[in-house]
Amino acid sequence: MSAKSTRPISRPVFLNLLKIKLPMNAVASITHRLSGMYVFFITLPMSLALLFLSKKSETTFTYLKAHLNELNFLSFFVYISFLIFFYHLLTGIRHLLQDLHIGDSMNMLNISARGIIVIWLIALILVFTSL
Amino acid sequence: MMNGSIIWYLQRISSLFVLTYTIWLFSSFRSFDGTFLGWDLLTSSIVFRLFTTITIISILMHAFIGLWTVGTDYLTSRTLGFLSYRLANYADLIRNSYQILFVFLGLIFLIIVLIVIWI
Repeated sequence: MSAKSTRPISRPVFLNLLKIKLPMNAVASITHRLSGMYVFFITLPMSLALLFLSKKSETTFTYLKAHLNELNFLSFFVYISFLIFFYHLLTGIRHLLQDLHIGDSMNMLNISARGIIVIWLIALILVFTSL
Repeated sequence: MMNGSIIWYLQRISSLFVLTYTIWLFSSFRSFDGTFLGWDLLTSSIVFRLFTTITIISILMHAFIGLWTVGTDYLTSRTLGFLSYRLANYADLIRNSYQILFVFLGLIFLIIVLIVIWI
């Protein structure tokens, strides 16, 4: 513990996160956390609202169905929220594989992190072009 | 209660439940005919009700561990001190409020799911 007191009080620190170039692996990790926050605070309550309204009556069901089959503010919000959940799943599966030591070399981690972004962008395009 | 390895396993096992549920839900949409009656039939089936109940509990466990980890990582006097020294003094208050908020929200979500699905 005495070593702690001999540490210099002011030492050079560089903490501008916007200027630090994170490796792709770190980007995948932090975005997994961020997307997780989004899923809990936005996608989850939104899904509950959708489930409630779709089961409430035939009127609300047909209203939702009509609006979700075309591009508008509601459907954009709904599909983006589900896509963020999908991103969380993709990065989550990647983390599970890492736990099993599958593809956990530095090289593979950066490749798979990029691969996930490619898969996600393809999903994004598929979803919005099918509307 | 916060035993490291139990928490670690709970986080991973609950994630597998959510993943399985998502795949199952998507595959059951294939047989969905797009009518209100068909939707009512699907969401009233005992399989949907039980699987959704298990999954919402898994989601809440998973989310609790994840949000708790994020809170104890970033909402500390050290990390908040990077933003401002004043904020750092309130780190414990901010983190505890954040924890109360997501636990409260989680309970509300659970009650809503149970009411919408079972009643």
